[in-house]
Amino acid sequence: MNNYFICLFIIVISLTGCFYNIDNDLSANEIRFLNLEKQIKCPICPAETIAESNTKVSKDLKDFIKLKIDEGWSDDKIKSFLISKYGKEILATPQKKGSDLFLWIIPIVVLLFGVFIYWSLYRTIRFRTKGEQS
Amino acid sequence: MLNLIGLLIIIIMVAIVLLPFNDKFWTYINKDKKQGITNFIDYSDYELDLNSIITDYQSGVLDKKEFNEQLNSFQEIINKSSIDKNTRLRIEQLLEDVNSN
Amino acid sequence: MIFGSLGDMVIKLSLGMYIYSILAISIGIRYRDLKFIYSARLASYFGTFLLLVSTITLVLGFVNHDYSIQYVADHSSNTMPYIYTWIAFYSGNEGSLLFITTCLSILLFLFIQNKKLNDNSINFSHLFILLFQIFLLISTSVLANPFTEASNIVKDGQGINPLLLHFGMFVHPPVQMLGLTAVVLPFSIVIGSLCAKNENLNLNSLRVWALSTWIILTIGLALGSWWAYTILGWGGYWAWDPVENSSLMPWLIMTAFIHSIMVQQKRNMFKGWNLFLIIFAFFMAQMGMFINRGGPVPSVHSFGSSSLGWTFLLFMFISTTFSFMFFIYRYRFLTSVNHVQSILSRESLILVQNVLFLSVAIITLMGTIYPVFIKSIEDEQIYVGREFYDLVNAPILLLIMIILSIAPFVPWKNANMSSYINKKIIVFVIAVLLAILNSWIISGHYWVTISLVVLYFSSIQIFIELYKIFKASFNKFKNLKNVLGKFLNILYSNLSRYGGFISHTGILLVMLGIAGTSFMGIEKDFALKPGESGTLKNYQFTYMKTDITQNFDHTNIKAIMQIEKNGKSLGQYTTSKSYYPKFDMNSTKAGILNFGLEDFYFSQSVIAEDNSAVFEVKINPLVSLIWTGAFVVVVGAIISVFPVYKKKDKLKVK
Repeated sequence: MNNYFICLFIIVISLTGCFYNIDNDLSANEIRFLNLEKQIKCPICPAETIAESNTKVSKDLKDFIKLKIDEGWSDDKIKSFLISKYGKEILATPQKKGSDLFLWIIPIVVLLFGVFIYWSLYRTIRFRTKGEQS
Repeated sequence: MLNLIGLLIIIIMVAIVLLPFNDKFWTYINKDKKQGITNFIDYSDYELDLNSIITDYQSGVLDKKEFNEQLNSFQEIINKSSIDKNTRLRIEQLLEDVNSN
Repeated sequence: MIFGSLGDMVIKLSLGMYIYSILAISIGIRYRDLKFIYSARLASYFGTFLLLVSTITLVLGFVNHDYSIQYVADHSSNTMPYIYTWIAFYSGNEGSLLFITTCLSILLFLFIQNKKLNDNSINFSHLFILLFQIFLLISTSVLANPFTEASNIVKDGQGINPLLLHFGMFVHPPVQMLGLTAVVLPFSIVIGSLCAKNENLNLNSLRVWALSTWIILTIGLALGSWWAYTILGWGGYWAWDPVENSSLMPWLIMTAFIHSIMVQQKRNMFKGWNLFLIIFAFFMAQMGMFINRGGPVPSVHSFGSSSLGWTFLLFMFISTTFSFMFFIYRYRFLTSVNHVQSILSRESLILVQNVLFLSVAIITLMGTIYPVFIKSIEDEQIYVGREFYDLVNAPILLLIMIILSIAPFVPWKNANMSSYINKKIIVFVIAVLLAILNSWIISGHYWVTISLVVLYFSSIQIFIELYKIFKASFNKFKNLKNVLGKFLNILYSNLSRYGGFISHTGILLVMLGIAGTSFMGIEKDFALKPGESGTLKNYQFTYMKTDITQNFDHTNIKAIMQIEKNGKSLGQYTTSKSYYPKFDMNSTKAGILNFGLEDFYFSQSVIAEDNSAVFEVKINPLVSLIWTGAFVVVVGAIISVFPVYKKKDKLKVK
């Protein structure tokens, strides 16, 4: 009986539809640009990506990226070029390799630690109670 | 001018904080203050247990069958445990109220 | 004018008053002398009065253009309208500190009202609040005194920073600062009770103060995002900026806290965990104040660096260390007899919720301080942008949402998994069907559909519960008036639960709005010459012209757009940019049109000599749900915290 409901649960969830198609409104290149601009930091602002900043430098970078996307450059090629010109600091999202991998591991560690906390509170109190009730 | 104001404030400060050391002050405030003592009943864990069962039933989280099951197992536990008299009295009272509803 | 010296004197006198108060209360506690306790309270009351006087003095200084006060000269000018004095007051380091200490003095005043004199938990709590207040006052009067004399008196002040002249600035900073400060109240209540060896701390008082603090923090967050949305020009409302994060983290932990104290109230469990949570919350709140005041993390927000930031940091570490030492010292008072019996139970799910909220807080904290960490090791200034936080926190927030729709409807102690599934499966299926239908109508994205499933699942369960109660009242009384009376009576007797339902629904609405804007939002740049049009989805817009006006202190560039939706003309709307040469700063005002749930957002980024302009155009579906949802959350919480004192001390049966 339990298994039946779990299957039903899974089927129903996977049927929840997606009625939205972004391709109707934006071209693939435009979508790529939107994703990429969030990953590049504005070089002169203290804490903004070029997506948020309205400085001229940001605008120039945005135009450059749009141009290169249209020319067929891949995301990685664009990013490597920018890194070679501005240094690693130009990236707003730390890479998933090198020393920055550390940052990406943190969430996993935190969640595992969370499970550990839950389990300890669950077990420790239970253990102590057993001793007291007998 | 400023020194005068400062001095005045300091005098008021000292006067205010010395008020409670004057016995007349206490008779004055006792006139208005109600001596209500909030009964800080030390609810035992058993009472909290029973209360959780009741509120769960009232909010519909437990249905009638589950409610009765929980009540019965609760009864068994308190019959087996040693609870102090006051707490037991309160629990019995609560159970009576429950059964009459 | 005497305002400067008067204000300075009054601040220092209030400091003296609070120092007396802490001495008196220590003596009163040690020697069980109620006279000293009462005297300490009177001293605290008078301290509130003195700080209010100093606040009024500073305001008078502004209003009378007393430039012998350096702070007034730095933050106002002869032509500044009086109403901006409110903003000028707290827009600088010194003024905001005075604002915070005054707020804390008022909170302390409210806290010790009508409290029993011989209740040492209250007295110890009073003591800890005083410690914090004295620290703040010493920082104010010594390191950042708003009444510092100007070295030379200018004829006209600097004027106020134009970026601050927005209605958001009138409300967001004071509420945010009040919220962060208020965290010391629940913290002191918990620590104070432990000092008094009373592990049955006054949970009613704690609940009221914790919830009130949380409400203020929620309002501060909502106002901040809304303000950023209307003023910053990029069409978003949250960028995971370090200062934004620093106000989010205390809120996250307080959200965990207000739920876990429920478990302590109902099941007498989680006492140690609650202590840990509130210590962490207070730590984060201080961190928030530190980052705001010139910490090492660059942000669009900072007040500006000063040594004050490091003083806050020091106090933060001292207070946290002492709290943890205390935690260990009093540990034996914090154990419970009750334990978590089953994974599917309300207390267990609340614990899971706690862990999830804490995870978001810690991940955000790590992301925020990671650049500082790297800078000290490799001397590189890196930046952790919003994409990281969005990617990493989103799944956790989704889990939180799901738990939110399950936990309130699961019994305490334990529940049987298969009977739970049996009971809820129909509700779930109906919720899914409704969500799919709803999503189809609005052409929703997959994640919007999922959010709708959770929203419907929660709402249907709420509706069923209310219906059952109504039906039970109906069975007892046939007269409709009596039925309503009985129904409302039951709701009123359990306001915390039903207020909670409202808040939960509000949160789900906010999440739905976030899903809509994040996954269905469309953005595109248009380079237009005057007269040219652009199209985005079902909106058509024509760039009419640009008006450039020279005001005495700024240049205003206003672009006018004619907007049409679905072919129907909506009129002309503007977006503007102002440049203030004196401050070398730009301020933008985006054009926002609201259509029920959706916003059409446009702002100009560049104007060339030939008047051609580049516009960022953005469509934000469902964004209004965020603001509406936040409002609903606050309303629900206020209902929940409403004083129903008479019922609280008794266990009740209806």
